Amino acid sequence: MPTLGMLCHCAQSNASDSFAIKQNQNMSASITAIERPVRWDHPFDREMLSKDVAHLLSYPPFSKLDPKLFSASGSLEMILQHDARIVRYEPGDVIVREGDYGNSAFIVLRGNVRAFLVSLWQRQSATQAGPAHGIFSKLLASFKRKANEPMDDKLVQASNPTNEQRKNRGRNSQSSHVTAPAPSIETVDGRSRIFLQDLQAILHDFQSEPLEPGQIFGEMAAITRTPHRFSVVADSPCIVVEIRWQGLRLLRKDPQFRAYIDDRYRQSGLEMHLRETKIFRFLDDDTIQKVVKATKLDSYGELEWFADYKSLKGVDSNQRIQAEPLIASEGTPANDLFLIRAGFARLSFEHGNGHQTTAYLGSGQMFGLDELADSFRQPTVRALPYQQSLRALGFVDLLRIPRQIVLETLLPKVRKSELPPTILNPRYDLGGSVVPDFERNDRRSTLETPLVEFLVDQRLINGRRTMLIDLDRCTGCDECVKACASTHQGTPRFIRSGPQYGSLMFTHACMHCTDPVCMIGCPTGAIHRNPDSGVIDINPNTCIGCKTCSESCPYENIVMQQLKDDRGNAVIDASSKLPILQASKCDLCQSLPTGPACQNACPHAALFRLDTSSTQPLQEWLERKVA
Amino acid sequence: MSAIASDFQKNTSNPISQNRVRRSTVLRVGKSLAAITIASLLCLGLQRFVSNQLGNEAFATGYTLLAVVMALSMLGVRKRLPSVNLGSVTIWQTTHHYLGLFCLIAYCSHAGILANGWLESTLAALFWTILLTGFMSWYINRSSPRLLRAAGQAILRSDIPEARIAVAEQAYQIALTAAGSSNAFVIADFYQATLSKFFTGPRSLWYRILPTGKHRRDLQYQLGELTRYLDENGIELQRKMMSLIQRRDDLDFQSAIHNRIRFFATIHTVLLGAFIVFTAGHVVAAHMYSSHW
Repeated sequence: MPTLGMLCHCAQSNASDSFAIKQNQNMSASITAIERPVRWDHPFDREMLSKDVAHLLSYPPFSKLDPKLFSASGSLEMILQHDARIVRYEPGDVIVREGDYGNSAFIVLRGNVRAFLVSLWQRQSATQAGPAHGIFSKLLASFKRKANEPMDDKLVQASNPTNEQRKNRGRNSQSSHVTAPAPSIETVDGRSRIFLQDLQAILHDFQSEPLEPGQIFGEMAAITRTPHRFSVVADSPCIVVEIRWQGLRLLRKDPQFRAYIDDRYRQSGLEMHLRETKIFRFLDDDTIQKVVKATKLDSYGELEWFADYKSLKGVDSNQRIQAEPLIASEGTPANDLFLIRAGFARLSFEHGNGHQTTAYLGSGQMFGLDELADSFRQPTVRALPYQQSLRALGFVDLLRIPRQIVLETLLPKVRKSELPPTILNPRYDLGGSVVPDFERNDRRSTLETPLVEFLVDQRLINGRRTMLIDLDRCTGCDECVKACASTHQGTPRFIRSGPQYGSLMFTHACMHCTDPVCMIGCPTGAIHRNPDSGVIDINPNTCIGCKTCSESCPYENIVMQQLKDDRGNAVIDASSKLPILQASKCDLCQSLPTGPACQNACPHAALFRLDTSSTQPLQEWLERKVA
Repeated sequence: MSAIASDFQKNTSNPISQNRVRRSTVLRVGKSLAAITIASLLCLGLQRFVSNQLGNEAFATGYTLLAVVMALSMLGVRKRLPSVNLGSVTIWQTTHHYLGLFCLIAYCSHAGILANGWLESTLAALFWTILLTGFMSWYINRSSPRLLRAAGQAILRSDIPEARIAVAEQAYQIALTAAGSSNAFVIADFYQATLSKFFTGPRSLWYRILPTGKHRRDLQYQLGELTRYLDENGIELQRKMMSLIQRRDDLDFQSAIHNRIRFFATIHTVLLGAFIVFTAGHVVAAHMYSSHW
């Protein structure tokens, strides 16, 4: 929450700032009056002038946009002036770094940039070191913990790449002694600049594609709220226009621009995803191109899925499952291999009078491989149909690769050891009907079904840092709430209650989601994902209190609170006399060296955070607890 | 599919992981016992060493005890500094438990079990009370979560009064509905005679100290006895009233458990403060009246 001091600082730094405080002398001493913050109080770049906008409008794709499609209050000029900025890059400058979360799209205006289609840096799992056990290890670990520890895998320099990685670095990789580029950081004009030294060597060692003036990049990450899948580096001195997500969303009102973006998204997304899929890492470029031609990119559900989710929340689970878009139905011929690109999908099978969920699939996972691999191994035997159904949970973006391509082109180049095991007890036999004794054989897989269904139904599968409380340990002492309040000006950022499954409580605290739908509608970009740490944060200086994020959050983890100054006085709008509200949510105590204060303050080790977008961390935790 | 499905197909009673955890538990307990034994031996060694040097061993053990007590009180300080990187409170709490055990050894080596003189007797009484409340707190903190879980959906302590009012309001509405029905008015009569007090009044002091389900069972039994006077709608109202009795009792139970936790923690903390004050007096007195360090 911004304090009066912070607001005063804003006022001093820029006299024309409409967010400046006008301390009303006639008001009571316990109330501070300010002008209500509005959209575009804080443009993306204050130095963006009208002549820059006019210049931009002469370049494609902006020159092709129809200004009549934009409203008077949000004209094309205004969008570009407030939501775009022009940035100059020097050769070697990293414009977009793989793994960083994207909030903007970029269009090359002048000069050349190169997109690296292969990974420049090796990924190291953040959990590779394993959890600390024992009091001394925990003590050491708790002191070593960094506040801004990234949620995602850390990008680290790969000083000793494996042979496999070298091979995978594309056709340009001639030398067997390829080392990962070492990025350097310096600050220019108050902005951090990451650049690669010896660009020519890197261009020689790593496969890259040129992007020429007029081409757009980074839009996929901005639209799908996911990390960038590739790095883009300036090849020559270049000028790039960066449009933040809020502006990009408005520009998409123009059907031509929307079609252009969607087309780009499909084309580049498809190839990139295939290249990144682990079991296809030995495919050569020709094969990739062949697969790309045959592959379709399908989307199911709505990007703004939270509205439907909220409306169906109280509905019977069978009805809810029926309402989910069906991607592939069990018992039907396995004609395609599905690769999930973004979003989540439910795996289920008919059970009694309803559907039983067995698992959920996220980005990078596949559906149909088991069945197709079975056909690949036994080409003379009649093909098995899909053994389970696949349904979209919210919004799902997936690649659909035809069976023939999979069997003839892909699977022959996959290592035998990496193929899934043979289906010994098919749920559906070769004719497509239910095998009667299937349930008896598959009983073990139903062991955790209620938990999987709970996670899916509550959409907790979206959480990257889900706060859980073990009710077998929690005494309700509220030390966590007190710690949170004391580190956030007396107002806790979470509520110690929420949906419960057995002894696990999934509290109402921001989960820093994989798909943060709260960010979709924010008109100012106040709620954003920290590109480095992946934490969803709210910028109090730009939040205008419109409630869009709070109403979008499917988990009720964002609350609107009255703004207070540093003396605890309520801040109101000078003209309407109404209170000024601001969105408030868990920020994972990013500013503290200790990390989340709530977690550190729990005396009983009952409160912890887990990545629930994958079942593995929860499964491991349950195993530790049971044992 | 196979990766995630196989995650869940893993049996949680994996013998390898169980053995690993069992080993680590044994190791942990072993380490704890070893730490306590070493600390005790050090304490005795210090006592012996000071004695051999013809020093006053009471001062050696006394200052050891004072250091331990001050270290014990640091837990409260740590809790008030959530934003300082001092390690997690869990670690501090565990250390507090071990130091508490060591404190018992240090105290016995310093003062024995009983003491003479009003100051020393007060200190002894405070020490044993603190130790007792500490053990009670430890035990309650271990056992309460399961008791709370058994009492229905977890609810914030601050939300309990509001939830009680909501339950009482629902019970009143059921009684009103029953009063308007010729085949269910007995529920309204029973509500007026007995349940009204249960839903709107506070529970007894005894219940708050040692909450049991006896009163709830009595009420449910009495309400159940009215079945023969009820028609189908009346039985439905009776069923709803039964569940409200259960809900109210769960809320009271959770409230009692929360209060018990807070009571022992507060007493423990307050008495520790008093103990430190009296200890300061004792140190001054010891130095004033002892000619031999």
